[in-house]
Amino acid sequence: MIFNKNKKDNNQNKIIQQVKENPDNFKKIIQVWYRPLYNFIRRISYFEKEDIEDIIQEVFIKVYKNLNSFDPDLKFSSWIYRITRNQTTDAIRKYKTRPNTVCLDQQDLAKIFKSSLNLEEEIQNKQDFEVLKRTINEIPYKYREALILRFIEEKDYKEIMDILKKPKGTVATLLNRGRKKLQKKLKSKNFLNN
Amino acid sequence: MPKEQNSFSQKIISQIKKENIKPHSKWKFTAINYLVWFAVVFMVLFGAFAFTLIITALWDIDWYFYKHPAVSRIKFFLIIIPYLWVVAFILFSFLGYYIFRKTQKGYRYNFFIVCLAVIFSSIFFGVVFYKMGLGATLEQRLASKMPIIKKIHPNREQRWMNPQIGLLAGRIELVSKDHLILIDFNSKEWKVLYPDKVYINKHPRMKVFITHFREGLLIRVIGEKVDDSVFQAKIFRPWSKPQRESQPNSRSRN
Repeated sequence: MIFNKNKKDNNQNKIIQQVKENPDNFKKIIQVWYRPLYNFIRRISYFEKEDIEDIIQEVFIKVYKNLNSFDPDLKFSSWIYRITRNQTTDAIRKYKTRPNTVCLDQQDLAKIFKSSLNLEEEIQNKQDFEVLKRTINEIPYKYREALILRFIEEKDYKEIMDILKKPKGTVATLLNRGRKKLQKKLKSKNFLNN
Repeated sequence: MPKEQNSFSQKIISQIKKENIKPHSKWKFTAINYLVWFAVVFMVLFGAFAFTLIITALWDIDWYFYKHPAVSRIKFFLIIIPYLWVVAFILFSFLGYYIFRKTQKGYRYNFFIVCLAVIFSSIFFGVVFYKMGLGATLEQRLASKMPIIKKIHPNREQRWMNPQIGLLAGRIELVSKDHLILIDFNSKEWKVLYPDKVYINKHPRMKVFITHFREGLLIRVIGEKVDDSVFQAKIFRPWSKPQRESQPNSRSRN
């Protein structure tokens, strides 16, 4: 998996060179990243399909304009996720009157709760998932975003650092506090016994 | 590849072509990056200048006043603390940290490490500048070029021109048995009354100093304003900080 990711990033560096030579090659970047970015925006925001597509469109235009600012020390995925995250945050700010509930499906929720809280047994039925969904929407956005990056997008600490532009200690704090907040909320709902 | 995705990428490519969007040139990003780093260096240097001015002001402290019963701690700190430069030092250190975080990889470093690095760099260069003798020159230049600084951060002369809080300084015009006539730095004449004899006797250093009073000598006086041009002295000190108090001369003891 890690090997594949590195390979993907190395390929991206080659593609960037090709895009600089011919804009048509940008299609390759769009095709590789459209789906992951679409899902990422869906997970960290509450936007409908059309809004998400608008955001992605702006993201790709930004990526194209800023190709020369890409730092090869960074993973291409971290760079493109950072741009996407910033664009989404701007959009959320713009439409802050809309209800602030993220759209995570059952699989996503299971990933977060199983990995971050070691829940294996507790998640059993659809009712449980409804509780989990409400709980994750109750914790502050910054923790939710960090948990999504770590447990759903499966980014390591360094990648999260580069995406959120925060030092390692802050990332660790966000994840730990996010976990604790989830635990506390679940306990208060009698979902966790101890 | 899904049809939807294909049409989306086609849409982006056509937008790029139609609007003739081009990637920003590399030199633009390089220039911005250098600018940010220059700003960090400037903030550290400004912090260093502020620190030089702090040392210059603190080096001027007459610690004789610190434990003197006639001087309250508040008055002592009013005399010594170079507030403006302390605030400037804190401000430039904060800006240095803040701009460093805006460098390409600045976000990767811990808050305390970056703060300490910025503060210690400013302190290091501040000491270097002070050793180079920049402190006094800088203080004079700033005061002459920017009158507002003189207003906010009074220099030594101005700090001692505060009879309402008990600080007075100037040149001795006339010495008599129970008082002296002092011309302050604004050329105003003051009748300065000596403290009572018992008080003078309790402070042998002051007793010796008084015997050396002569016309033209610059002195500092701490006491109380009695009248518009009368000042009751409690402590007399020479205007220049006595050399032996700040730098003990070991040879003189031998």
